[in-house]
Amino acid sequence: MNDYYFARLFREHKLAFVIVTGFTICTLVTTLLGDEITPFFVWGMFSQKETPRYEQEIVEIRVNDEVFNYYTELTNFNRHMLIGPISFYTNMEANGGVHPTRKFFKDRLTEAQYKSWAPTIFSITNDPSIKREFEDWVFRYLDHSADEPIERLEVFLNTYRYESPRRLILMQQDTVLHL
Amino acid sequence: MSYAVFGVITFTLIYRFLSNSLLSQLEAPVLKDPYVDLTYWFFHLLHIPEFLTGNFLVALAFDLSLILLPVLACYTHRKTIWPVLFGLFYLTYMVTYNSYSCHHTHCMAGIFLISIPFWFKDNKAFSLTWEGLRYYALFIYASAFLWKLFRGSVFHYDQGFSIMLNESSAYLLLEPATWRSSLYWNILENPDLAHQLILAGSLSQGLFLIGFFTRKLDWLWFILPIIFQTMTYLLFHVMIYELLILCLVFLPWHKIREHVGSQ
Repeated sequence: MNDYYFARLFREHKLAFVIVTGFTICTLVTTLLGDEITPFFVWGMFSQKETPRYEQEIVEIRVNDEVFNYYTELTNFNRHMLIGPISFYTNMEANGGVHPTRKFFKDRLTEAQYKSWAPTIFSITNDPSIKREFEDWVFRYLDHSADEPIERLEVFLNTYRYESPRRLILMQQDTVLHL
Repeated sequence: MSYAVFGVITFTLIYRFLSNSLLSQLEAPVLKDPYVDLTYWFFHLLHIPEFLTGNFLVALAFDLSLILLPVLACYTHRKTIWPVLFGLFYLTYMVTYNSYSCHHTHCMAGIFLISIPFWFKDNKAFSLTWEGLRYYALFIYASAFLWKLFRGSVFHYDQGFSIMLNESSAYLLLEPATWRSSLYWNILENPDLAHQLILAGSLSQGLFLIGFFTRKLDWLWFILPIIFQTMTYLLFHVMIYELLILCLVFLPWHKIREHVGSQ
């Protein structure tokens, strides 16, 4: 039936045939390689084999000295826009301030290759000096999204351990941002 | 059909506006993650996301255009310029939002892709690309199943339990007394149930392979994603409802048109 569709496409509309066939080939190639190039998406989410992680790192936000419940106070997209960059920032801090994309390439390229690609990679990623600007942005975005005016803002990365499915124990608390 | 497609799109954009997620509402974000997606590289090398989010008035004009374009596409069926512009604007929005939210979510892909058939003025080209989109919608779920199958995670006993731990822990801490938390605790106490749920979800994705060979079950491909995305949201807090717009390609539009025409 697929062949039938492409044959009909070729017969009836050449431009549509070129677009659809090109899109199909690119999508199949990116799918086989496992690396997507938008809009040739790879639909492999949640397909990586997972083993239980009984230690979980969880972002805690304190607004005016009270825990900010980002599940009830924010909508899904709102929360995604806030927690995603904070988690990403903690990864960056864990890399010694190096942007994860820079590390990705550093780990995979030879030193000479990395040097030649460095200007491009650097221009599309952040420097470690982003910290101050990032702190300001978290404050601005949360202030815009939250109902109450923010006077004090703290962000922590808490490590919890599951003692049992209903019992989470706080193991460690690292300060991410303090404003 | 354009009323349904662009009406749903307008609704999703309004929801994004209410979620403080349009570009003028992002408060000029600074941290970006283009990762290794060449399209994202291209946009950032041209400084498009930086330009759009760095100036409030530019961002506001962009957002207003983004909301206005599907409305124009609704009411001016024969003009392909609006769907084309909408597709380009939405792709730009998707890249910018994903880049600054530091996570390349796929939930917006359906909205961009469903605009493509409307780029053609010719009815035949429209029908053919619309039909192609039906195959693509099947491919999304079928390939999601094949990824899990080839990586061996479909029958991996710990898969459901592990994903549940990763995705629900923050919610359990912040909202321990809700019905949803009670559901999560129960699933975490019954790894068998977590395994069966994820297995059922994965195998239901595998069913989409049948859709490549027959149109008789199109009603099922319309309903299954709704159930699947709802379960994903309820269990894992992952909201990919925007992708449901692709369910529209499984509707019998010729029958709907006849029915509407006879009224």
